[in-house]
Amino acid sequence: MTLLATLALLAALAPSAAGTPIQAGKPAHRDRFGIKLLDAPVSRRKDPRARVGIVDHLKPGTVITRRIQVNNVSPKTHAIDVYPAAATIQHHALVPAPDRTPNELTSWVSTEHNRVQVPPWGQANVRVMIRVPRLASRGERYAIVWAQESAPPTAHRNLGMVNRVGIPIYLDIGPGGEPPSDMSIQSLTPERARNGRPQVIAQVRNTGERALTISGKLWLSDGPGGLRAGPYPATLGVTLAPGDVAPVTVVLDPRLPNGPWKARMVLQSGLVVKTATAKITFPVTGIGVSVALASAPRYGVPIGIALVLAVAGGLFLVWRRRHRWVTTIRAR
Amino acid sequence: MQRIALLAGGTLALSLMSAQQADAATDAGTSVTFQVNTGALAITAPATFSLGAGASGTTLTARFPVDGPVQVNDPRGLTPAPWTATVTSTVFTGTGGTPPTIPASAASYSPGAATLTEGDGTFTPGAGGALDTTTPVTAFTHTGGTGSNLAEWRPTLTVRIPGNAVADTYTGTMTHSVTTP
Repeated sequence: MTLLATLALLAALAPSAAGTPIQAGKPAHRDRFGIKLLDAPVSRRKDPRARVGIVDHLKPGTVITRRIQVNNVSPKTHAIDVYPAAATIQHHALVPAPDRTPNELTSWVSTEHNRVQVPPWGQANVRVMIRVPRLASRGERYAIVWAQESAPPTAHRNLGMVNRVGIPIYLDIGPGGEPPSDMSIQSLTPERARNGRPQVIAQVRNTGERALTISGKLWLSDGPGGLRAGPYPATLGVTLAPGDVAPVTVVLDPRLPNGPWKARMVLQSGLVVKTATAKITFPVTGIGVSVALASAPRYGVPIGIALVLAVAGGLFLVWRRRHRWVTTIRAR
Repeated sequence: MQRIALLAGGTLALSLMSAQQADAATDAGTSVTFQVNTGALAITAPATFSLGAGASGTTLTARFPVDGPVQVNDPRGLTPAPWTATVTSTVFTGTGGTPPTIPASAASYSPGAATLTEGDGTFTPGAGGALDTTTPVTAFTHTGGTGSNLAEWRPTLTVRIPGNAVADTYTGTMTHSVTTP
């Protein structure tokens, strides 16, 4: 009985099957500060992008206020600067401009405080106001609201540091309702990377009128021997301005056989979700056979025909009217 | 008469101002908000860094200390939970009335592999490279993932002091920016 009890005790003390030691090495605490958005419009409650960025469509002349919160995860008070600065979409990413570079949108943005003293382990709320001028032109603008702390250089430590965290603003201006957001998956291309890993590249086009922040997942099914695999996440999200085209890459497990597979790619930006399915086979090396998906817009040809008919019809009516009028005068 | 005119003018001006404010409509669809309950995307508090000293034409290399890495802490609990950290630098400026300068591109940033990560998703060190005053260099990115995550890295800075650099104490400032895409 004693032997059994001892064994049981030893078993209980031994590390779990997962191998985590009892004294799991907790990472050292790092003094840090953060930013988060406190308010999002109820109309965008289901849009995940609206929880981490100020995403909105406003009519010219509108004023909105959103609160952000700066928090201090450290035992000392920190002075944090809060300000808006320009951002652009380049190379399929939201690129911050340096320092306090202004743009049209930042000239509409003001913060309740320029600098907040955040107490130890505490927070400070700051109101961000966006005043859209009455004559603002239509279109989407981008900026970032930053929470920043600076450590200026000294004689002995000659590289100063500025660290900042930001909340993006994707603001669309225009009369009437929100312009559509949409994307189109143009093709799926199976590839073999240099390190031997199979990849699927989805070529995506932003076919809507607002920027998209795209993430995605890929499922494989109907593979050799009835295998299925996934979901595999897209390794790099892309931010696409309207009209942009970019590749979204999914890297898969190197143990997967070449195929053929039925691949199902689901791409998402906020509430916009697009699915594409294709039969693919991974090549032994390099780029495999691409599968084209979206062709010309489905409504393109019938709309084209309708337009031609409408124009022809209009011209005919005009011709008839002129002919009749001339005839009437002659009759007199 | 004059006083009345002034008063009338003043009143008119005031009413115009308030009328303007009243006209600035709040879009009904966007003014009703709810409180968001995600965590705060955070970065470590900045600490000054010593690049060291060297003669013109030499190369200085210095790495962020073990107890002073850059850490991006993402407690937002999102799926996916993307964030991108980028770096820019100022020009390095010497002392005096017309100080000599060393361009930002003399400094090169190499994030190295993450020294610590928590959470899932893909953590990718940036390609790094020569720093610039306007074009950001990618330091680190996190994509995909489900939930909270963090990444720590200790970047290495390499400064190639130009051969024609004047002897002086140069200072500069490096900026790490972290944002959601």
